[in-house]
Amino acid sequence: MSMHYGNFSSKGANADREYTEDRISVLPINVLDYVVELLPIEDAARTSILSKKWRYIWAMSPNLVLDNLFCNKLAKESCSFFYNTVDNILLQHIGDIVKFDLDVSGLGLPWYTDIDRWMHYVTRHGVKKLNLNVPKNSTYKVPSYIFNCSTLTDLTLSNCVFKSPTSFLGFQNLITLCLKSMTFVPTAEFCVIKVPLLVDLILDCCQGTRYLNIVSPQLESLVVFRSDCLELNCFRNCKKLKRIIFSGTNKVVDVYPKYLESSTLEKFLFSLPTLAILHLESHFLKLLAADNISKELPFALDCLWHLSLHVDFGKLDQTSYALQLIKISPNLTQLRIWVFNTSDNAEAVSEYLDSPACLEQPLNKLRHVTLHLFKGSKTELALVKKLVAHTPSLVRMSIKPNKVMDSWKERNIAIELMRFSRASPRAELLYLPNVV
Amino acid sequence: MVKLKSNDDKEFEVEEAAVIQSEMIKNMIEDGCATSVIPLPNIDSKTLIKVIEYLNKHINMGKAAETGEEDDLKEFDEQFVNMGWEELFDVIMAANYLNIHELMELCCQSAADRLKNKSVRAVREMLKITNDLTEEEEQEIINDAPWAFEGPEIDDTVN
Repeated sequence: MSMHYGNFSSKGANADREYTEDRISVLPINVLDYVVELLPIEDAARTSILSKKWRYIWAMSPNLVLDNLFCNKLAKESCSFFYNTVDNILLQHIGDIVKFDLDVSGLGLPWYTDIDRWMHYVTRHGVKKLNLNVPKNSTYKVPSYIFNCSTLTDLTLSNCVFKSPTSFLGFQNLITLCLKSMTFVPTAEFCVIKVPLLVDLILDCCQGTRYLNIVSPQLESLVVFRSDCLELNCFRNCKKLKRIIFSGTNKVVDVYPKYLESSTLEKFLFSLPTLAILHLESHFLKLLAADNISKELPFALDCLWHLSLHVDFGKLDQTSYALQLIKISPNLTQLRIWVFNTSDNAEAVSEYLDSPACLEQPLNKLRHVTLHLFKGSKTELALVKKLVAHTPSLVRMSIKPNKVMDSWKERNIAIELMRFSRASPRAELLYLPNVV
Repeated sequence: MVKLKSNDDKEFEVEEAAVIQSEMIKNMIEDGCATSVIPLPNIDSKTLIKVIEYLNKHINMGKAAETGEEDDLKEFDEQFVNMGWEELFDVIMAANYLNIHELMELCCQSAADRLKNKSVRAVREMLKITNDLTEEEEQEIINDAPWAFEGPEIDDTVN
């Protein structure tokens, strides 16, 4: 190994040392594998021709990612060219395919028998991480090969129809399951899917979730986006849940579970002894807050360190519920609040936030607070004032306005913010009017 | 503090919290083998300085999201890999030997980014790879995956 030193100046200063001999080809094979894995498939395939040493590195690479861009490019030629090329790639592959990504969501395919065949192939070649994305509304049914594949640890399926086979016992080794825009249909008989090792579950924009009954005692993270239904019953026994994200908004249309009841949600959330990260969007906070004006919550979230909430500061129930959640979390270190809405005329809310009773004890562990979509209303300022006065360990409070306000208003907000007395001597208060 | 010694006999003191990002050293510490200086016969001092710079910056990286320092780290990483091939391979070898997963990923990703969309001729030229394949073999490889060798995006320049 060459030894050039004596030039210890800052980074990049030695960038001109000339590269004269082939060093990449003598790197350990695991490093070459890794570089090839990180290349898009065309570039990866092209490395086969660099030299004898490189001849089979790509063919033996355990990861095959056929992304949207690549599939579209092939299908532009013709559908049969696409089918043939993927067939060829699989035929030439040497050894196990540990990770297989196939994204045909942008293709108008006349049939899906080839996809079934490829799924059959990869599930017999040791696939652990499988990601399949078919076109929206395709009615493509998840083939039985996937259900019966015991090597799977990570499974992501998008836009398919999910109907488990009658004899299905569950995914024995699955750790991560992500289902996007899936349609679940009822099976002939009531069927429980056992996923004994599942840690992460993401349900995004799925339909018919009530037909999905999962038993997953090891589950640590439950993320539900835009679901028309949320059956919390099947998660009742997930005592290891650490992370909950419930969200319903997107740019086009908001979807929330229709029949979820306030008491069910509350009972569920407060029955999780290890909950550490909680993210609730407006609908869920609204639901929880509905019957709870200024009521003290008889629970504690002892492990919670990250709380993120969408709050309507025009509403007293939501504002007070948000504060209740903060108060019952003695180990909270990070708080993120999205100002979902606010009102300058919400006298009751301002009065509540100004009253000493709304927050008496110091929040000793809270170190980082971020307010997103800040609109500069009286209620928001009252909240900031309250928080900085009760957070002796605060490191940083960041305030990010949702749009550019006029400079006169911004100046007034800044002056107001500066006046607040802070319990933490080292607290940094960042008002970021230009960062939207 | 943990003491590391490069192959040109220079010693460096590194905080334990930083150095345990190396799986290899972490295991040594856990096994009680890191009481005196740890010799690193495969790494020269210049490369070791780079690696230590990285380790120090990435202490408690898991907490970066919590403190809003992600952007800061991203910028550091971008600057960090702004180096020639020679240095990049030195750091990759060191990261591979010390088993520092994040540093491996960063450097291999940088290598991949530099090779992306480059023609075969350009890659061979950039990396000084000698072509030892016969013409027949080359044609065979092209016939196996013709789709990889055509397209307007393939860039034949070397830089």
